[in-house]
This record gives sequence, C-alpha cells and structure tokens, in this order.
Amino acid sequence: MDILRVEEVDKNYGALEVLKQVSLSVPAGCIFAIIGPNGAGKTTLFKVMTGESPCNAGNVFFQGENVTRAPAHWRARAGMGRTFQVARVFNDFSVLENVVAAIEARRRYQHQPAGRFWAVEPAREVLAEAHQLIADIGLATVISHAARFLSHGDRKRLEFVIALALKPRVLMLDEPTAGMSPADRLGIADLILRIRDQMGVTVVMTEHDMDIVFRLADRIMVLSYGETVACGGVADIKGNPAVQEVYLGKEMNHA
Amino acid sequence: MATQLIFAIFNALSMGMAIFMVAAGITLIFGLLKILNMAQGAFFMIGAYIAFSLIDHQQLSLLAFIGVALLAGLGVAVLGLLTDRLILSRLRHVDYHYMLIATFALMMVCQGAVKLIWGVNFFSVMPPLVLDQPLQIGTLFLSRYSLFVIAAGLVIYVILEVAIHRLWLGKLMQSLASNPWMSGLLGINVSLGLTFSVMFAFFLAGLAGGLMLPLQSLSPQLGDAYLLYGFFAIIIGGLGNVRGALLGSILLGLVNSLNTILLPEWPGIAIYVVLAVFLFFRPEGLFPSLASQPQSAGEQGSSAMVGNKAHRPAWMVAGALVVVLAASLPLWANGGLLYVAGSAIVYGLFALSWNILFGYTGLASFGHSAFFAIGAYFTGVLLRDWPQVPFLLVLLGCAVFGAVVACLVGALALRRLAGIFLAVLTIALAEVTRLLISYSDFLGREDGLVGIPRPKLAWLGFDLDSSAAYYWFLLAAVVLLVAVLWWVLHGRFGRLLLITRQDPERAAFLGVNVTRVRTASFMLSGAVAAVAGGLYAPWARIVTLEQVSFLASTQPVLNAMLGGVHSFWGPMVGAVIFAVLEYGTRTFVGLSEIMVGALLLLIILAAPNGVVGLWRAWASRARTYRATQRPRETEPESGEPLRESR
Ligand SMILES: Nc1ncnc2c1ncn2[C@@H]1O[C@H](COP(=O)(O)OP(=O)(O)OP(=O)(O)O)[C@@H](O)[C@H]1O
Ligand SMILES: [Mg+2]
Repeated sequence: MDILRVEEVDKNYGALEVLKQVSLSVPAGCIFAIIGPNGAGKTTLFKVMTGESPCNAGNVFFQGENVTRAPAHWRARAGMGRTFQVARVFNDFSVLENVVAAIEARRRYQHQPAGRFWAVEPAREVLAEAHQLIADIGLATVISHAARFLSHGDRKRLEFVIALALKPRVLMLDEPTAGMSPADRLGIADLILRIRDQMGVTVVMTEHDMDIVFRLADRIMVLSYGETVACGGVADIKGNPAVQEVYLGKEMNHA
Repeated sequence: MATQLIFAIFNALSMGMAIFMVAAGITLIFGLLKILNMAQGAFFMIGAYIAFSLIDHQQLSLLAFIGVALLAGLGVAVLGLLTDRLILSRLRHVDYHYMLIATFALMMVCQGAVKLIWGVNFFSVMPPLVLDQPLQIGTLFLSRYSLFVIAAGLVIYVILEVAIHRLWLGKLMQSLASNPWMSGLLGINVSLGLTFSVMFAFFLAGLAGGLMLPLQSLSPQLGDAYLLYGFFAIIIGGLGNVRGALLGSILLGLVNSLNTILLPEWPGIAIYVVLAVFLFFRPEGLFPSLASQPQSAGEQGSSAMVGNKAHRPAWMVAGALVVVLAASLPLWANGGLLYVAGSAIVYGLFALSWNILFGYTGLASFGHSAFFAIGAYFTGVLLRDWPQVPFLLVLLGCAVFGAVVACLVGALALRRLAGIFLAVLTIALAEVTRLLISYSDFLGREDGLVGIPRPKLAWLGFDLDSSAAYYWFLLAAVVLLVAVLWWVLHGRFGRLLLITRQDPERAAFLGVNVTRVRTASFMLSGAVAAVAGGLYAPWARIVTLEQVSFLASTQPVLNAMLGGVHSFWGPMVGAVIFAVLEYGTRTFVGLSEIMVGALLLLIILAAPNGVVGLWRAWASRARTYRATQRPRETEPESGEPLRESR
C-alpha cells in the first residue's frame, strides 16, 4: 500500500509557480528519492508534504488519510519525521537534552510514561532510550556538548537522531548528506539503509549526490522547475533522455 | 434622522483619517523592518507638542498652519534619524522581540521627556481661522476643520501609494521582504534606504501630530490611544499594507461613531469587541500581505537557562542567606524600607511571571499589568466587601481569573503571527482593563480602591494586620511559589517551553502542538502575575488605575531584562536591583518614566543578557583563565556535563 501519496499539488509564492501539478506515491518500506537541479522545488514539495506550508491546490494522503489541511504537529504524531536542508536543532541544549526533549515530546502524545511532571531529571527510561539512540548514531563522544558548538556533520547527525526519536513510519530527509565529507556521506548512506532494513521505516529524500541516490533509492522522481520530468526505478531514470537533458549530462556521467 | 446619520458618518470618517495618519507610519515601518514601532504614538504626540510650541497660542492662517505641521514633521524626522542610528540599526540582527521592547522603552522615554519639557497640563489649540467656522449645508453643520483632516488623510494616502507603487519605497520594501541580504548584493543600499524610510515614517507621525493638534486637547497621554487604534487598524487591514490601514482605520472610526450613538455610557469599548471578533474570524486581516512572521531568532540565549551547576551548594547557601536576611528585615528596618522590600518581592514574582513567557517561551507581553491589576482589584474588592472569604481561596481565585483571561487572549493572539499579535493584544488587554475599571463604581472608577484591609488566616490563627506579619506571609508565599515554579520550569514542562522558544517549527515536527504550549505558558504566566497582584493589594492597601498604565506594564519587562531573561533568577535579581535604585533616587519624582525607559534601552543595547548574563560571562572568562593556567585538568567549555550533575 502507498504510505504517502501526493495528488496534483500546486504551490505558488505570489506570482511564482513553484510546484505545478506534482503527483507522487511512495510505497511502504521503500526509499524514494526526489532529485532535480537547484530551485526545482524539492524543498517546497517537502514543505507541502510535511505541513510546514499549505499548498494552493491538490491533496496529500498519509497512510490513507487526507492530511492536506492537517497541521505539522498532527502529521508528526501520525508518524512523519523530518530533517531540514539546513540542520535545525535546539542550539541552547546539549546533545543529550536535544534527544531527551524529542523523546519526551513523543512519549507525551503517545501517552507513554515520560517521567513525573515536576521531576527535574528526565525519567530513567527516557534517558536509557536517549543514550541508546545517541550511541547508535555515533554521537556518544559529544553527548554533553552544547548543540551550538557541534561540527556540521554532527549537527546533521543530531537532527537525524531527533527525527528518529519520534519512531516515525516515514522519514523525510532533505539533503541528508549536503556539505559532508565523503566518508561521512557513506556513513549516512549506510545509516539510511539500516534504518529502512532494521526498523522498516519508509524514507523520502532529496539529494544532489547521484552516487548515493543510485545506491540507495528504489524509486526516483526527477523534478525540474516544479514539474515532474520522470519517475521510476533507477534503471529507468539512468536511461531517460529527458533526465539527461535536465542535468546536461553532467552528474549522470559520474554515475 | 438622515442628518444624524450623515453626521455620524462624517465623524467616523474624520476619526478614521486621524487614525490612519498614525497607522500609515506604523504599517510602513512594519513593512520595512518587520517590527511594530511602539513609539509611533509618542512621536505623534511630540509632533503635536512641537507644533503647539511653534503656534504659541496664536490663530494662524491655513498656510502657516500647514507650514507649522510640516516643521513638526521635520523635527520628528530628525528624531527618527537619531532613533534609527542609535537604536534600530543596532538591533537589526537580533530576535525581533528586542526591537519591540526597545521601541516600547523609547515610548516611555518620550513620555517622560514630554512631561519634563511641557509639563502634565492639558492645552488646547484653535484651528486656523478659515477652518474655525462650521460649514452649513441645509440644516447640517459640518466642521470645516474635520473636513480638512479628512482631506489631509486622503492626500497622505495618495502620496504613500505613489511612493510605494511608482518610486523607490516600494522596490526597497519588496527586496527587503524577499531577501535583505540579496538586495544588498544587488546594489540597493539597504541601510541608507532603511534609515530614509524610517525617517519618512517618523515624519508622517510628526506631521499628523501637527495637523491634528486642534482636534483634541493636548496632554502627555495623547499618543496612547492613537497608538492602540493605529495598531488595531493595521491588524484589521493586514500588516504592512497601506490600503488595508486606510480601510481598517475607517472601519474603526465607524465602530466608534456607532458606539457613541448606541452605547453612550461605555465610550470606546466597541472597538475592542470588534477587534476580538475580527481576529477570531479573519486573523490574516482584510489584505493579507506576503510578509511572513519575522524571524524569531531564539539565538540570543546561552545554554545557561538549563542551569549552572558548578557551584550548586554555594548558591544554595547564598539563597538561604538572602531569604534569612529578607525575613529579618521587619526586626531592624524602618517602615519605608520594609515597604520597598515587600514591594520588591512582589515585583520580583511579577517579573518572573513575565519571563515565563519571554525567557522560556519566546513571547513578549506588553500589557502584563492587566493581569497584575486583575489580581489586585479582585483581592481588594473581596477583602473589603467579603472579608469572610478565606484569603488563600482569594489568591487561588486570582490565579484562576488570570489564567482564564490569558486563555481568552491567547485564543485570539496565538494563532497567527503569534509574537506580533500577542504584543498588540496584550496592550489592548491592559487598555480595556483600564477602561472597564474606570467605568465600574464598585472598583472605585478613577480613584481606585482605598483602605484595603489586611487579611486574617482564620484557621491558622494568624492575624496579618501588622506590616511585619503580612510581610512575613508575603515572603513565605513568594518563596513557596518560586520554588514550585522552579520545579515546574526545570522539569519536562520547562524543556517543552524551551524547545518551542528555540525553534517552534522544529518543535512542531516533533509532534509538539506549539499553539497549545504557548497558550499554556501564557496561562501560567497570567495566573502568577494575578497572584502577584493579589499579594500586592493588601500590602499597599490601595490599588489605583496606575497599576494598569504603560509604566506598570514596563516594570516586569525592565526587571526581567535588568536581571537577565536567560536565567530563572534573573527577574528576581532585577527587581531587587531596581528597588535599590528606586529607593536611592526616590526624591527625583517625575523622572521615573525617563529612568525606566532609558535604563531598559541601555540594557538592551549594552547587555541584553542582564546582570546575570554579565556575571556568567565574567565567571566563564575566569574559568577559562584558570583553565589556561592548568591546561591538563580541564575539559572544553562546552564539555561541561549539563544534565547528570544537576
Ligand atoms: N518562501 C519563499 N518565498 C518565495 N519564493 C520561494 C520561497 N521558498 C522558495 N522559493 C522559490 O521556490 C523555488 C523552489 O525552491 P526550493 O527551495 O523548493 O528548491 P530546491 O529544489 O529545494 O532547491 P535546492 O536544491 O537548492 O535546495 C525557488 O525558485 C525559490 O526561489
Ligand atoms: Mg532544497
């Protein structure tokens, strides 16, 4: 079944049409990549899908429900986790506090024990869960550093942990490897695969690095100037002349 | 009947145009800087005073009158230049709330300055000769001067539309709205353009002040009503939009005109009702602009709110000493000092309640005195007229009352553009509270409640009639409340508030219902402020309308900023420091507004993290210094374990 479906979405900023009749559907358990040149509207599509900004026309369905008008926090509670193109974490908090806050937020709406209301310390089970997640992603060495002072790669990872702390059904990643070193990129790619395989999380991602896209993605959608150029499996996309044109053959040769 | 109707519409138009002349400047500055200039009303008033001094009790010809108004506009434009260079341009890159607070402080300074220069008396000025006689059309007498105001408003509107659609102003606004940084690259001199536009907006305020001088009598309160109505007009019309401001202003004029006809004994109330209804059904205004929520930086902070544990035991001993010292006061201090100390304790709690909203949730209230007054009047009336109600129950009632009011205001304000709407609606709340009190006989109207008796705690056998006894009760109650708040704000509720302050969007994507969290925080804040008011009433034994003035609303802001908004204890520290300052300078009456405003401005510009922030910076420098002396024993600054060692 399609876990996430977008139907004929339009999005304008004033007179600028950023998305024109975009449709897509993401089967559960797959890794779905949205690619396209800068300014194609990928981030805007993410905003529409996650509820950050409303669309002008069209519908978004999440797990069979029409969520077009649902606010962001509602979609998050229903199981949609996301990261931002420029990592956003809680700068005044330490790494551990970031993760604890995220876990407490989830436990609150899932009505799981989140510790006493007046307790200054987070509950033991919350702390255990946080330490587990942080160790998993390899941030244990910086666990008490203030998020403000983290390196770029660690910030990205921290944002990843925060999104995972939601135990999402779908994880929306906007350029998860942007600005990272090649080694870090591979690490993130492995992580994405692991998340999908071990936790059964569906992944929707945008990415400029074609190596990573072709390695991870089950399905790829190509967006250009807000219009769908092509959509299909890796082989379809690689051989598609329209896609070659969008990319001027440049990135495709690398692949 | 028909004449009455025409007359009402005519009055509505002239009032609407008067509002528009102020609203135009506000909406212009909002369109450019994404801030509400809280000082616009004060500069309008200064324009009026300048014109008053220039006219000097003569009756001028029309041309000379217009010339005087233009001069007043120029004078205020120069003040605008100063304001921009000294204040606004320095705050362009920090959280917009600091800019809001700075203009609020500037308003206080202006009011104080006007009182010093021109005194507090009312003056009135005749319209120019040609406009003095009414115009007769059939049986209808219309004031020529009002016609002149309407015409002036229309002319200003046309000039603004041309400037925006045909001249540089519009281009500047557009490029700033989309991307200030890019427009810098594109060769538009943003800083110069902004300064010029700010001067233009100030010029409008001064000009309006001069033109409308004969419309009403002149006093230092003149700007307040116009500021509020100007805010309402641009909220109704759509922020940052000149045509919306015009329509919004006229609508307000109509509402007010109907109010005087249909509800003559409650003047000025209908506008608030209409605003509330309007906000409920159409929060985006008549002409929603593309202008989005100003960037809430939330970056101001330091991780310090989460606690500085390095010297915990030392701090606990220090805290205990402070409480013991405070408790010993009645034994050795004189009555005056004791009174100041008791008030400082109450104001500390009040400031803390404000900071729950600002420091923890990232929202600023500019009418917090409304909650304080609600608590104070509620308690005052009950103690005076129903002394049999147990006092603790009364305080509980204050908390509930404050929370309910906060919930209602929050329901209107916290849906869209939360920061801006809350700023305006809290000011409106203070104003409407003041109006309602001044219309209510049992609240003492303009005279306030006097002779409020001190309570008895019957079932504990305490009589709190003496100052010392009530002071001890006050101290105990505040210590208890602060302790409870400490626990609540340092636990998971505190973390929830802090993540919504730091990045509301990120928090929403963690499943946090940001609007609900903000409303909860506002309710808590309102409840605590009302309890502070409730504790204050029997201490001062008198509550008056002064408790709902702008000055009273500035008090918690100042105390919190002075102590440091990024610290739980900051507001209390600030309240004590301010009390000491005030006690030391109590002989200079009349300076209070200037002092409060200037101090607040100084803090925002020079030390936005307050005294506690300065202390922390100093302490961390000292630590780093020690670390460089003994490099091996230390860990990196950020490596200090934040959670475990609490
Ligand atoms: N808030 C906004 N207001 C106006 N225009 C916008 C806004 N956000 C994005 N745009 C425009 O929409 C278009 C698509 O932007 P978007 O960020 O979705 O592109 P993208 O595909 O994510 O690009 P990139 O690969 O660089 O991240 C761009 O032309 C951009 O200028
Ligand atoms: Mg993008």
